[in-house]
Amino acid sequence: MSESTSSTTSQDPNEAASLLRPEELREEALELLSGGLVDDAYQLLTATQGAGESEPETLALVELLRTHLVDDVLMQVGSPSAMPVIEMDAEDLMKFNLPAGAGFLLSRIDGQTQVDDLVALSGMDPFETYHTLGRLLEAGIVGVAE
Amino acid sequence: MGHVIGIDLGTTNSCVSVLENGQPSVIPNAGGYKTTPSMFAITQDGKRLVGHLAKRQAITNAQSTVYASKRLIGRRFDSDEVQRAIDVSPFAIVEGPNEDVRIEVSGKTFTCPELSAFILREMKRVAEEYLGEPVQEAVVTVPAHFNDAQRQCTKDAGKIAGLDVLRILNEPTAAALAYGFSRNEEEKVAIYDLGGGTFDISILEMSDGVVEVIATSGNTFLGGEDFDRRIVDHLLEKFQEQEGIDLRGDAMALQRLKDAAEKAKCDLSAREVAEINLPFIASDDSGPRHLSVEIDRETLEGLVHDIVEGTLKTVEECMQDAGISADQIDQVILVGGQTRTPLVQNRVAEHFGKRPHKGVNPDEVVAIGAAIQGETLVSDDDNLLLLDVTPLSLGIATFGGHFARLIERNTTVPVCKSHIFTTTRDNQSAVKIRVLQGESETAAENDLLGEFVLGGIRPARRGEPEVDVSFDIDANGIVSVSARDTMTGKEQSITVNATGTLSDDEIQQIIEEQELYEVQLKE
Repeated sequence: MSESTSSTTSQDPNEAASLLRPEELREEALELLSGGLVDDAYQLLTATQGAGESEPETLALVELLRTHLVDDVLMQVGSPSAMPVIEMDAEDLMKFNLPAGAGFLLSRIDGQTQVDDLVALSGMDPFETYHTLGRLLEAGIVGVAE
Repeated sequence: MGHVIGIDLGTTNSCVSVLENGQPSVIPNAGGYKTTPSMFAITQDGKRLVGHLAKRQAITNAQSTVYASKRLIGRRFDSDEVQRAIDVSPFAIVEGPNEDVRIEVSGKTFTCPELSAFILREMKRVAEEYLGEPVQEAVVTVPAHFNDAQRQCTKDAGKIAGLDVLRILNEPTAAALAYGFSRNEEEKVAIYDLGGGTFDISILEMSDGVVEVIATSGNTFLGGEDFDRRIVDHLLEKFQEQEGIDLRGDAMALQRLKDAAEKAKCDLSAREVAEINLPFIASDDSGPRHLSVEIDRETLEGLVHDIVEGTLKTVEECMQDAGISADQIDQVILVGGQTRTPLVQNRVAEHFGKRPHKGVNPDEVVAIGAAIQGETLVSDDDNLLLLDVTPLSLGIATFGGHFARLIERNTTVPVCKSHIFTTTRDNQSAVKIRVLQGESETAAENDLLGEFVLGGIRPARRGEPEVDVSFDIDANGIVSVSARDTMTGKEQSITVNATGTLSDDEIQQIIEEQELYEVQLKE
């Protein structure tokens, strides 16, 4: 979840990653995971072409990363019954380069809807909802009501 | 004695009320809202949602979210209304075993009474939480123009929800009861009820505790949802003009547009201009796109003008049925959230030549009237006499496909009319009778309530046997039929199986399934 004004890249990581073989990508992902960079590991495997998407080892690792990501979000919010709130005013929010899915999820966050209800009513794949929520939490756009 | 609750089971929103210490209260739900969306959904992980949560995911989970099922309840699958709903509904509407309507949600098929029961159960739960005690008895309202099958199905829904429905009450009549509560004036009243999905108009006479309906009419496919749809279409066009992106296929964007349209419509009842800002509604290679549109009241009025004029045509027809002119109406009562729209208020005022009464809350008045009626029924209060009418003529199909009216529309209920049937052939042992409701002279164009066979007629020459068939419409507007051989005096038991109504076994099975789901949910 990057601010559009601050995101700069000198080299496309996917391009670099695509030079690696699937087993090397998995190793790389495991290394990121052990360093606590779960989302980066997930991105590496799911956004990189030639990551061996259909290989059982890759599928298993992706599933593991998805579980980690959901657990991380639940740990951050405290429990599925926690109440997410938007922490930013509209002007600051507009500085971010949010995808439409994140925009939609933000539109459902009203300070009265619990995390598990948010997952139920988002209409998105439950993992996608948790994942997007996790990124919004990480970016400080969303917090949890006390 | 427990409380009797009044439930306004609306097409788009429902409301529950109760009388406490002689005064009506509208009960807020857990979110603090006094109305609850009449929506039911099943999420991807099998969770059942009712009310606000179901509404907030309605478009992104469109195929598994049921709304406005009230428009389908008690209708035959091949009816024009159902076929029209199939064209516009994202959820699957399928034919049931009795030519009735069923709705498929996440691989499970639900009957319409079952879906209404989800809403009624939610309203029951809201009332129980508020009162701190179990609630068993209720008065449930229906549009005045509901036929027998629709009323019967609503009663079945109450049973499935664990409620003893003491009375099925017409919505405009309920509104009149609430309006007339603690008033003793003699006056003629017009109830103009424009809800989310239906429109009703009723003309009533009120005097000294007597509330008498003179005429009623309506349209089951016209309401506030149509206003919202027009606004959404307008926003879609604006966004396409500004950004070159068509959002029609984007469920998440449509959900946000629908929510925003509804809010803008409400804002425009109080303000001249409403701003609609939906950041990050779409994104493409060039980055996020935001929708920012201003809509003014004049634009909204231009979008919905024809819908409002359509309601006034129905008003005119009802006035003709009642045999009175606009200047004879003493009070005009507006019911339904949509009547907050200034265009509606102004056009109704112009039509009747007087400003509508401002003393009732259009969202709550029907539920309040239902609660008042409930209290009257259990307390045997004889200070209030309610004389309602049947909205549709009741009759039978006759030779040549004609419709013979036995009870004319706008006849006060309860009512009973008898008709003598005889045989057309020598030694004929049975007569088949088709019971219909509607206004067409052609039997096939009316609603078939059911058909039955009068059997066991004694052998005789044609025209000799006489069977006296009695058609009753009770205070709920529900039809029953009984028959008696006039020669032998032998009574015949007849059941008119209305389309879509459920047998006791089916109702019991649905209740058990629901209980099983509740248990699984707790586990």
